[in-house]
Amino acid sequence: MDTLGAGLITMANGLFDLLISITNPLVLVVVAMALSMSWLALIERDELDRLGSKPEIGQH
Amino acid sequence: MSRDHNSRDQRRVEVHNDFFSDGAPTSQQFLTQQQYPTELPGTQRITDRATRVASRLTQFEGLRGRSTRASLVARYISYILTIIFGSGLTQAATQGVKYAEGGGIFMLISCTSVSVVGAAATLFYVNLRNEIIARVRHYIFGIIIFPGTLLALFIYATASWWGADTFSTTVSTALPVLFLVTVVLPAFIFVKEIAGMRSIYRSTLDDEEAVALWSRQDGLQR
Repeated sequence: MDTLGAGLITMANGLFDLLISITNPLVLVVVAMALSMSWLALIERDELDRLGSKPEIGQH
Repeated sequence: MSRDHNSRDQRRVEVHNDFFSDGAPTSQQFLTQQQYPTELPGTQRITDRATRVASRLTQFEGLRGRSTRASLVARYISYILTIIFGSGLTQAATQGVKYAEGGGIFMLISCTSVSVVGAAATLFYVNLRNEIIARVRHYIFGIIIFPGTLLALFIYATASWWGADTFSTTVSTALPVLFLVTVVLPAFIFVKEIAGMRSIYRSTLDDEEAVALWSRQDGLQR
């Protein structure tokens, strides 16, 4: 039981270390930039899809 | 009135296929709504839709459709890497330079704020989203990253002979100011530009409305 507890504590510590290193402001800035760039990429892909199809208009 | 209803219903039946009678592909969104009822389990609906999108792309656009989209993704990955690389280079070049220390971090924050504000602006100004993307690219690469990195390298090159003479003092004061103007200020200017976009264009019409108005297909002539 002690071994199990020690293992769990080690895993929790590792998780906290990971969290601390990820929440470094610089990493957060890069992640925010990457996310917004991905959003812009999605928009461009959507525009491509729209170019590839004939629009459907109820009554033309 | 009843004839209108009938023709509309007929039309709905006709576009169950992937294409119109003239061979042009139909709009994807409409098809997915029509062909995938909600009774299907979620996973199957998603995989079916992905398969359908891929096969539809191959059917109508061929390999070029795939390569166009792949190059788009590669282009955006290269944007992100260029921003990180330029900021890293700037950070190294401005190391230990008075008033320009940590320039790479400023550059990174500037680019992030421009891209985040640009991405948010596409939600508010949907009809201008292509133009917003072009502006974001212009600000990040045309104003901040490339000129800023060049300036940082210039600072790095000249810092070796900076001394106490008048010319050196002037240059060593002017270059960090120029760096500030090149890298930090554009982020603020971009936010101002985006916030004033409606008043810059002086029109709240989207493309479809504007064309309808110009071509007098707006119903006002009746």
